[in-house]
Amino acid sequence: MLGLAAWEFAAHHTSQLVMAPLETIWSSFFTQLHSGALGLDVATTFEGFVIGVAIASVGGILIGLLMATNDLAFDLLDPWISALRSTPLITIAPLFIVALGIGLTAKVAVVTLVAIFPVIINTADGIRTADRGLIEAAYAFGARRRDVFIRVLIPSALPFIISGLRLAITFGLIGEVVAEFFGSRAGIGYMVFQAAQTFDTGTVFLGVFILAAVGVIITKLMYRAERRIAPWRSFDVNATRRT
Amino acid sequence: MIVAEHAVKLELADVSKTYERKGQAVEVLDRVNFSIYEGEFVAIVGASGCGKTTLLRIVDGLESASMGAVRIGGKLVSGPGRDRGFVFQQDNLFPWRTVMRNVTFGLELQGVKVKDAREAAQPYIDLVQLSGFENHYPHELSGGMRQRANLARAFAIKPELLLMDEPFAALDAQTRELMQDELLKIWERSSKSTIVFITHQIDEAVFLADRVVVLTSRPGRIREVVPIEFGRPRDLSLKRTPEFVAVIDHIWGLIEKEVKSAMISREE
Repeated sequence: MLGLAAWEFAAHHTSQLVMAPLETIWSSFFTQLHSGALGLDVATTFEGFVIGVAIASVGGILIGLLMATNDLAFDLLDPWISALRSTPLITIAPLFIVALGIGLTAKVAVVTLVAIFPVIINTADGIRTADRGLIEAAYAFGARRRDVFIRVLIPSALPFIISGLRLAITFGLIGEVVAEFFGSRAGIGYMVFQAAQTFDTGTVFLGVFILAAVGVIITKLMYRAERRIAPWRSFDVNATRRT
Repeated sequence: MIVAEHAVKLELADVSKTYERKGQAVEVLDRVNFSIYEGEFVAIVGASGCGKTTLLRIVDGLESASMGAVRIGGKLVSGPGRDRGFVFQQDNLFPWRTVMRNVTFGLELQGVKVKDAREAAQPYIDLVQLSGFENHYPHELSGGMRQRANLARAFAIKPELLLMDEPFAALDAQTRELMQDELLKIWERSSKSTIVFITHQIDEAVFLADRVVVLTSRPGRIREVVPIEFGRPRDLSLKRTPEFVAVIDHIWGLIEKEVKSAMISREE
């Protein structure tokens, strides 16, 4: 509440080009909603984002597992991953638009590209840092390689993979919006970009608020999913969140 | 019956192990010859660094011997097997499995259906007094409870040979004493597997075992095999008897010099 009051105060005492008071944002919301543009924008963004993150998740987990279990795959892929993981790949988003045209394919490609690396890296790290004692215990009980993989390595990596997915969602949302800046006919990124060009600050912040809300909701859902999928970790999660 | 009682379960024939470390050969075990009979409880003691853990890992097939042969029930050991249980110093419970699912782990590997495995595991959970904690995760248990779950996991597969590597070393003194007592009870009430138990605590070895194998240090050789003739069932008051103390003194005399020299070489 205090934050909102501060927002109002700041908005009324600075240029309307930089800040918009809440009532302006609210009225933008209704204008956009009634024209049907908002629904289309949200749906468009959602589509590209979900497909891209889904591809990045499945692909990232598979590549990560391959890298962690196959030395040849690791040697081939690791230099690339290391080089690309810290490169702001978002900068080549315009090239995707040029190559693939304005539309879903280019956006999905951008989202996948920026979202896949944390999944690959976390999956591979999760497998590689599995407790040796647990692996040995499994072997001592007569486990074969396959059993160790399914019953020890995958569960060990699961919390890491979930963290990777959480990052993928954050990066993916940024990727989607940026891709819409550069070339699209709808979407929240498109809405914000258009509004900024016409100095419609209210609509710009409407977009920002929607994205922030989506981010908060997804993070909450991921924590909930993590506690469900990896209940033995809930203890750790609570401990770190309390600090 | 006498024949069955004296059947050799585990046979070590000239087992030697040499490691390569920084281009130098380090001899860990030197021609260990020993036989353990069916249903026998044997403890192995020795100064730290005498290769007792290596010996146990070779028996389980987690490591291979440089020379010599290990036979279980007459068959040559070539790798870990489902007929053997191993209890590690760290409890090594799977953090993502509940107590119940940890105990059923070995059974699941043997292809037992989850429901049947649960039924088979329950008596062992009861035996280690963890009834009511079946659905707890390891991080919710105390160190002693975790080690009891670890014992249940090993006993649940009804191993023909149970290998224990200082399972109580990480516990505090009182808990350790209670666990020794408990282990004997569990062992006597279960199908009496053959047990090889490694420890650096002489009183633990004497209290538990039918025979105590004393190893020399680096390279590990058998110094003496001490038969322990106290009757069973044993309880903790045995430790306060003069006979018990006499056996401990004897074994301590065998390894005292080596324990001291091991201490000095570590201080260097």
